[in-house]
Parts: sequence; C-alpha cells; structure tokens
Amino acid sequence: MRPRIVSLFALREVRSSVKGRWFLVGTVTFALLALAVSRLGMAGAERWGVSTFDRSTVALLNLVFLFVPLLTLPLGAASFAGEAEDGSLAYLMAQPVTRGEIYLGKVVGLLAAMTLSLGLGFGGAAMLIGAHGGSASRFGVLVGGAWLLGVVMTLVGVLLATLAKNRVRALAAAMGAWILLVFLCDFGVLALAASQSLGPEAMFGIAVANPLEAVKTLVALFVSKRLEVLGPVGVHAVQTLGRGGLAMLLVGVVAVWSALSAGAGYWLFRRGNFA
Amino acid sequence: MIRCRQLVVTLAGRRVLDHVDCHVGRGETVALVGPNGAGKTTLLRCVLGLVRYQGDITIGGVDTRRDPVAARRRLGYLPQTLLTADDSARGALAFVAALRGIPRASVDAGLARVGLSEHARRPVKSFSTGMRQRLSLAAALLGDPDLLVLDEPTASLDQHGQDEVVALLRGLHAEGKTILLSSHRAEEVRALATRVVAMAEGRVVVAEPPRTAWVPELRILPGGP
Repeated sequence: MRPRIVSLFALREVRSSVKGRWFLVGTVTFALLALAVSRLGMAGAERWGVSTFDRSTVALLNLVFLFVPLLTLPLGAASFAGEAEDGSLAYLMAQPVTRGEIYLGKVVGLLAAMTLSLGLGFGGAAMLIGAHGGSASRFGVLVGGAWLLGVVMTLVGVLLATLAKNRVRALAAAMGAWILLVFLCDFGVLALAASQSLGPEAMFGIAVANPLEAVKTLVALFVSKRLEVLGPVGVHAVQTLGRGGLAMLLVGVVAVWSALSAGAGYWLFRRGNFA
Repeated sequence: MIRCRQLVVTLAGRRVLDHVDCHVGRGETVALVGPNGAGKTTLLRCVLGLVRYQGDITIGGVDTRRDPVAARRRLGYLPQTLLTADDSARGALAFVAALRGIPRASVDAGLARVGLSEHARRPVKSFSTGMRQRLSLAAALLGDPDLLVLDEPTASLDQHGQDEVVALLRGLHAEGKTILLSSHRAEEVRALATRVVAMAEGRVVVAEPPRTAWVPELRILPGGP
C-alpha cells in the first residue's frame, strides 16, 4: 500500500465531493441543525439557567441523528456505485495501482469530505456559542457524536455500494438502511419487548446494537448529567455498567460496525468484477 | 508481449470465456473481432485485471495475478467508456500521470501529441466525443508504454475522427508499439491489424493475418459492420 497513491485518490474524492450537490446540502443542513441546538440551548440558559441546555440539546439530538445518516449513507453509496456504473472505477483499476489503494483512498476522501462538511456546518454555531459564553464542551460532544455517526454511516453506505449493481440500487439501499436504522429498529425493539417480555438488559442490548442508538446514547451520556434523559433502560445500564463502562460498550458497538462495514466493503470490492 | 492460457470466466452463471488461449507478440497489432457477447471485451478486461478469471495471463513475462501493478505499468488503456472528469484536460491527464508515477511535464507533451494543447484548460465535460477519445488516447500513451490495450478505439467517432485515430495508431505501430484492440469495424481492422483473433461464444475460433481470405468473412459475422 503506497501512501502517495492513497492520498491521490483521497484528494480526488474530496475535490469531487466538494463540487457535488451533497456537500452544499450537507453543510447547510448541519449549520441549521447546529444553530437550532445552540440557539435553543442559549435561549434556555438566559431564561432559566444553563441546566435547560440539557433538555433542549437532548431533544435536538433526535433531529441531528435523523439527518446525519440521511446525508452520509448516500455519500458513501453514491460515490462507489456511481463510478462503477460510469466506468471510471474500471479505468482507475486498469492503472498500475492496487484495489486496496483505490478503496482506502476513496474511503479516506469520503470521510474527509464528510468531516469538512460537518466542520463547516457546526463550526459557525460553535463560534456563536463561544461568543455567548455557552457550553462549548457539551456542544463539542454533540459534534463529536455526529461525526462518529457520520463515519459509521459513510462506511455502511460504501458497503451497500459494493453490494449494489448500480447507483440507483445503491441509493435505494442507502435509503432503506436509513429507514431501518432510524425508524424500524425502534419499532422492532418495542415489538420484541411487548411480545417476548424482555428484561431491561436484553432490551438495552438490542437497542444499542443499532449504531445510531449507540451514538445517541453516548452523546446523551456526556451532554447531560441527568440520567433520566437516557430513559429507564439507559438508567438501568448506567447503574449496571457505570458511566465509563457504558461509554466503552457504546464506542465498541460503533467501532465494530465501522470495522465490519469497511472490512466487508473492501472484501467485496477486491473480489468484484468490473465490466 | 501478452500470453493468455486457458482463460475461463463465468459471470452471473454464464461462461463468458471458455478455455481461451491467445498471445500477442512484441510489435504486433492484434484485433479481437466477433459478434456482441463473443467475449472480446471480457478478454481485454482479464488482461487489465478487472475481471476474475481462471487460467494465466502474463504481460511482458509478468504474471498479472502475482504482480498486477508491475504488469499494468507496462500497458496503456483506452476504455470504451471515455475518460470523463470534472477537471480540465490537463488536470485529468495530470491525475493519471501521478498515478503512473510519470513527471507532470509529460502531460503537456501528451496533449500536444493528440492535438489538444489549445484545449488544455477546458473542462473535459465540455469536450466533444472525438476530443474525449483523443484525450483518453493521450492518457493511454502517458509514460510511453510498450503495450496499448484499446477497447473499440474508433467507436462513436465520425469518419474524420476515425481517420485521425487510425492514422495515430498506425504511427504508434510504426514506432514499434504492441497493440491489442477490440473492434467491430472491418476497415479499422484492415488498416491496423497485423493479426486477427476472431471470437464467438467465448472461444477463439480463428487467429490469422487479416489480409488472408478470412477478412471478408468479418462482414458476415453477426454484429459485424
């Protein structure tokens, strides 16, 4: 694996992503979400004291974690599938480079583009919070959580692209994954709990196996000192594992999802036929 | 220069190449001909390492499976789907040059070689099909590789564009380049090929010089011109 070649592909991917519509839509959406979080948080702080930042931020977590996967799943899916479909990926593979260099370069480039978009979007809000003396550290946790989720969702998008035959199917799969992770998993957990009389441990385990839920719980754990924002099952998990233990478990879930998605994506990409 | 032994490719349950043996000698221009679905493009893609296959391929003595990077360094590739990029012509070529480890200075020489110097700063997306074909050929020629693999090099070109590309390829053959191309055009095959490899249903059915009695048969091959 030659770092020079990997960096060439990564820079190409960043340039291509920045020129695309996704980058603009993503940056504006992240900025609006961040401003909403900061404005509500500060408005609460001015009226009722800083403690209300907890509630407003945690409430907005759901909104942030709705949009971050919506924007990052298609980012990974479209890039690989689009280039496979228009023949440019095959052209690149016919050059004296390895598939590993192409894959790693493109993934690094996509993650860099996602980070740039998120950084620009949330950066303005961070400055606003800093200027008003708000809780920049809590906001930083929120941004960190959004980034972590962006990483895992981009990698899942890449995996879906390597499974799909073309761009349309890859994007459809990305949308399907979004609906599954954001909505259907919650319903599934509720249905399981109702039908199988699951205990809190089992319910919590099933719920945080969803990377979105894992990151959301992780952020809530650090943004608020109040345990009730985690819900009754979350409170039980903190009491059982402790804050540190729970944080490690949640980070582990995200790491496993990221590693499995990236690894499976590479395996499929390496074995694939590009006709 | 290229040696393929017992190549077998199965895609989506269908045998696309069926125990194909063929070789391309140094300095030869070999045309792969045959109807659509005969396996011409798949054979090229095996040589390029884009498709998984059973059997062996060597390029200049290098096993493409053992050392694909070294094998591909010896060849330039002109795809059927032409080079498109958001970049300028110079930028697109510079990227390929960087991948191949070729000095950036050769980019302008490459553009001049195919008559695109005046359009170096224009975005590739604004190019006509003929201009993109020439740009793709310039990319294939970067680093002056001994071997050129060309997939339908004059497809989608008008008569003037075809004549230009054929003249350019004849010049490259005269310089001693080895060329492996797939084609549907009898005129192109006659003008360029020193040997023809005809394929049908994933097999090599004939491999002869094009000026023998076989060439007129090209006209009656299904899918031929």
